[in-house]
Amino acid sequence: MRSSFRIFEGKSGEMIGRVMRTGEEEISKLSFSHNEVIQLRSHLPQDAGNYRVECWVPEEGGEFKVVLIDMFSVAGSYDGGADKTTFDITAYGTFLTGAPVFCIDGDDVIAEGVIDKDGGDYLCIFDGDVSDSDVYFMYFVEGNKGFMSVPVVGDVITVQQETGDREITVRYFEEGDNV
Amino acid sequence: MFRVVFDRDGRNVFDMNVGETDINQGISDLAFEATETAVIYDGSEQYSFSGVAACVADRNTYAVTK
Repeated sequence: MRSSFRIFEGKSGEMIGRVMRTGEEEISKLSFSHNEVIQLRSHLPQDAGNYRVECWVPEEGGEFKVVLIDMFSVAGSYDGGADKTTFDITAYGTFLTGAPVFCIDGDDVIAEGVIDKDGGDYLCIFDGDVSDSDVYFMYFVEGNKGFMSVPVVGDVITVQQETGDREITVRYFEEGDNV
Repeated sequence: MFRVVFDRDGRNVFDMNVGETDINQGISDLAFEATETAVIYDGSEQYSFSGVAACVADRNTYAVTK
């Protein structure tokens, strides 16, 4: 199977971006899977390639919300003096300072933190002690139709249709060399 | 304005225009609804819209959501 993603400038029609895929690892359909969590991977691939998840609903219909979780298997470190918890995700790549990160604290409440850079290290910073939690990126798309295409870098990748009963197509794949 | 085309096996799955609104058309027929927004991030700066954020440096992120 071969597919492509192309971006054109609207007025001139000039192509300004292109993603080509030479192989796909998995196609999952979240048909009528309200609250069902689909795990796309459970550990980091050995090939160190660039992986991506896309999901979409191309036609109008009922309202839906699909959530993608990109989770890191790293231990948190709590600093009681500052009352902050940090997770070092440097080993997973390079990240954007200020990007939102999440974890579920001991009360099953989703806590939001932020990525900061300390020297060459990328740290996820949370208020309080959430050192026993798993830290993750979270993306969602919602509406009557829509799509998202995001890079995934963590150990565990899951998707879930939290709202609605639409048929949502999800693809997890390694990006081609000409991305 | 951007026009985004997504192909699968050579077949258009959907085709969208960013920056144009037409409440009578949808993703599958060339345009956005007024309530939809497209985001295209290239990973050079941190941006967020609705549930989609640029987190990974130097990697592209695309979405259409409301």
